Amino acid sequence: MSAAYLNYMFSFLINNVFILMIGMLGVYVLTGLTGMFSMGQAAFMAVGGYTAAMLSKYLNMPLLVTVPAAVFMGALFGLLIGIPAVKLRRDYVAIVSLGFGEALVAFLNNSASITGGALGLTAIPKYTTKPMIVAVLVLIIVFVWNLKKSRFGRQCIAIKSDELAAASMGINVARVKLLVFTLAGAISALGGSLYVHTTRYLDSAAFGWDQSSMWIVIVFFGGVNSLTGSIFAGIILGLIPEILRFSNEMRIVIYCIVVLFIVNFRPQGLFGETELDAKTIKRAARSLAGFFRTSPVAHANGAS
Amino acid sequence: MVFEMLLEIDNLSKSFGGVQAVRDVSLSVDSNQIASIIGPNGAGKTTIFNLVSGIYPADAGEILFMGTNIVGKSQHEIARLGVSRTFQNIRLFKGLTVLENAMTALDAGSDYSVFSAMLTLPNRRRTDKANMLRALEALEIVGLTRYQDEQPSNLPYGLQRRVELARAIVSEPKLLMLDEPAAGLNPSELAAFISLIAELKQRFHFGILVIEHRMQVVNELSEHIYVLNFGNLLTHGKPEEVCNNREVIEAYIGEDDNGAKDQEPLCQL
Repeated sequence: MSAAYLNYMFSFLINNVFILMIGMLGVYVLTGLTGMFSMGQAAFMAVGGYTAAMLSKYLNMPLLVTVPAAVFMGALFGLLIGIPAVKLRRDYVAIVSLGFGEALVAFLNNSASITGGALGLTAIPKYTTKPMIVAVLVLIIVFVWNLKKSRFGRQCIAIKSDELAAASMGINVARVKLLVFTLAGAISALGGSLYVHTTRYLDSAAFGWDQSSMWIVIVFFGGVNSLTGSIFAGIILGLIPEILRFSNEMRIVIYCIVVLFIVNFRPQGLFGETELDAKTIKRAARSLAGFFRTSPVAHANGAS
Repeated sequence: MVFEMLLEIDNLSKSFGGVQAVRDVSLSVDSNQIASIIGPNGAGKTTIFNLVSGIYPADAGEILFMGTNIVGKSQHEIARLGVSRTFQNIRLFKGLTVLENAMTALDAGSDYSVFSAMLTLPNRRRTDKANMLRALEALEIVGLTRYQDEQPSNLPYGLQRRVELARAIVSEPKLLMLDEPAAGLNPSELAAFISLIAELKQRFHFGILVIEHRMQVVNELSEHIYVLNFGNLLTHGKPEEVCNNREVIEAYIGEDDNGAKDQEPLCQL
């Protein structure tokens, strides 16, 4: 493995995988935490992407304007889609979000005069740097982590588990769902704005249902409740196709086999319900220490 | 506001399609009182609970909770007024620990914002800390302190019932509705459960409405018994009055004399 190859993979990890992971965190909040399937979450990334791209390209706005504007637009669209969606049963939410996503992509394709249509927008100002992307990703992970551990996280998981019981705990189910839709839209749009300022190129085909369903695969692969699981899965599944690039079509086959393996043998996902946090690591270290203390190898080495 | 009873149900009716599940039922529960609803399967007992907690709206009649009519209010509004309940088939939240399950009942009352949650601002920390202590206290009351970090699905059935009970009392409701709380408990668990309920009433002075099939629970706990049959209120009164009521015995055992011999006596007073 040459240094150039490692260098390339490192760039790919940050510029591509990490940015898409920010979009994925929107799916984590919506699907992983609250149990609502969003089959059109990539459309929110498109909302953020086009907002940032057009503001910077046509109006020469700086990063500090384009990114907040993208987040705002994502939240607004999330709210607008959420209002009809929260009244529906969760399987219909998937249909509504899928419809929204595909409709938006079609709209962007057909408004060629401002969005560039299927040709896309080019020469978008590059505003991002690698450290900036990493910092934003870490920040969003911390935010989502805190959210999960707060009353909102508990309410989301309660709603996912049993809506009726959640309501009888005094939880305003519709309101929490609406909040989650808004937040997920904002997070995915943030990813979209970083995406365009990094690749400098944008076309609507990148935000179809295939990207959305990829995120759902990642969240389930990692373990539905587990944020650290989703992050881990996001990195692994983001890198596999690139690592296997030499084998052309085979890479998709291998990718599918990996996913099917998990779905078959660990239906709760890689991490299941557990988070890789200090508590879990401490417990694992303790049991590992116990294992070494009793193992004959440790005694032979003269360990106390 | 002056009100007579904590919960007063007047001429409540509800039908599902052609089935009249509840017909003209009136009952009341006062603070610091335990009332029971008994009746054969399908008598409409759980339907009354669901109507009070707002899962579906009543067709006719009034449900007065502390003097205000709560018919038409949504489930979470009614819960926040101070009505809490457990479910016949245990409905705990999967993915939350025992402690977190109990905390969900307090979370609706916390008022920190989503930004405060994401940034872990001081007011979030303060609120969550206080709620955690309250939840721990509730777990201690029901004797579950050492299971606080367990997933509820890992606990045996009897303990899962206690988790549900802790979740129902943690917000210190004014009315507690227990839907077949003793179902599936073995005799020693049952005795412990009865004394726990009595202790809770002593401590919190809330009104308790119990649906129960096991007459031991009903007789030892309740001050007033309502008997339902096919959606109608058959009779009501003190335990000893109800147990000797001919209609009640007929509803439970049937009129056939031969069949009656195989049945256990209704009350063991």
